[in-house]
Amino acid sequence: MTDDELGGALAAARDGDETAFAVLWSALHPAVLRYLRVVVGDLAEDVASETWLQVARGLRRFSGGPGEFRGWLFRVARHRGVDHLRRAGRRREDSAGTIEARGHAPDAALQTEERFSTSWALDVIAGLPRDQAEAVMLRVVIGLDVATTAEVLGKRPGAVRIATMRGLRRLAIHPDVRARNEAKATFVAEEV
Amino acid sequence: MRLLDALRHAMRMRRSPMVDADQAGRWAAGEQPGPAHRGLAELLAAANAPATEDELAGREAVVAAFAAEVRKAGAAEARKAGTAGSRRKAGTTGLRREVEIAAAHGAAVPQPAGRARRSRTARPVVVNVAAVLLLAGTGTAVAARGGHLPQAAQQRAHDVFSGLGVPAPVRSPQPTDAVPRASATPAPRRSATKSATTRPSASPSAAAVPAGWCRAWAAAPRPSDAPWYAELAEAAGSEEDIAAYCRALDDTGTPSASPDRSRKPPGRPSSLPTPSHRGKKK
Repeated sequence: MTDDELGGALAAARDGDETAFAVLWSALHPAVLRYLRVVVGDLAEDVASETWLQVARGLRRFSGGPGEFRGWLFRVARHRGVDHLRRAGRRREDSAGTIEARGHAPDAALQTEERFSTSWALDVIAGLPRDQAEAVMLRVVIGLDVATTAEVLGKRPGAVRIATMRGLRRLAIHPDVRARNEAKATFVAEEV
Repeated sequence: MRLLDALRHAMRMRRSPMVDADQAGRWAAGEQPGPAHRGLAELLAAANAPATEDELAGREAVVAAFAAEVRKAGAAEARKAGTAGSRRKAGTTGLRREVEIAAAHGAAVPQPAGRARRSRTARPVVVNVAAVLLLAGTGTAVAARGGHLPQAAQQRAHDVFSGLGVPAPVRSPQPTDAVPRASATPAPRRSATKSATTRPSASPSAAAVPAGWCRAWAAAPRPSDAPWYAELAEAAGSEEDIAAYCRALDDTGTPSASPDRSRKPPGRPSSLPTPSHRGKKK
């Protein structure tokens, strides 16, 4: 969806148009849900619902264009997600690992997911250190610009660039990902 | 033997090239991983695949909640306009009565009548705050009810939330009949993707998604057993049509066009981490 279309839907939704809100939701919810899957794992659906409820409540008072809306939406999602993590962390004080706190263990899930399916890819990304995982999701997968990503994550643009870079580098050397490269090289060899 | 080891080492290096910081930096700046890093391109494309029906199943509930918010805001506005006369009575819902009873019993909740006189717009807030207090199950108001209020309050709160379009007792955001509803969802229809064979730019939201596959394909234009490849072939019509399909998509420019193309290496169709979710960058 282009920014013009998103802007139109945004303006109408602000005036209370349900259909326009449905358009906004359909356009952006999948991205929100996938981002949250990487942050909070299995709780993503609940957190995404809370996020949209908060957005529905605050939309009338929101002023800004599609870019600002995206930033706001992901900021709300992130705050909600981090709240959940904190609560989950308090409940299980013994499990200190960030991966555990995310509500699922990507490594275990990885074994059951079809390789190079969406769920698999999100699990691989979720296996990164959280700052890298979030930067890769927002910046590369969802395509927010550096400034917006930095704002959502509460970091400086430079830190976002570095986290994105490290995340991509780590993904590139993931065994399954590398195996893909190797398979391709073999293919070339056979062709020649 | 040493030579053989060296050769083996060289082969390994060739097969899985090192990822240096420069390379990763270029990716982070928007360059698409090339054929040597096809796995990465495919992973990113998979993370960005089209929305599934499951992902779009909760739509009705969220839109209903939004509609309820709009109604609530509209009602508040009407009250603010000062047209409220007999409204006070109309606003005395079950919950409100509950609040008043609770207040009379324990005074943990501020006297609603006095507050209502001060500001009519404040009333929904009072009610909401009271609902939260009742839900929390703390305070003398609850204690005064002899312990059976929490459950009643819970039920009442459910009534309130279902008034907002939120199915409170059901944990899952989508109701049981989510499947037929989901299929009625207009957003990224598979059929729209198919019809894109003839007019790839027909629907930007439909076109934006294959662009992600096209980038993965462009990284290494040959068959793949990944799920996205089958879907791309389906969208294009056949495996042979993929090249033309992706070219057409790129020509129309919509999905992959992006402002900062400075890093784009020449000759590659689309080399940016363009948002293939309909969420585009600013």
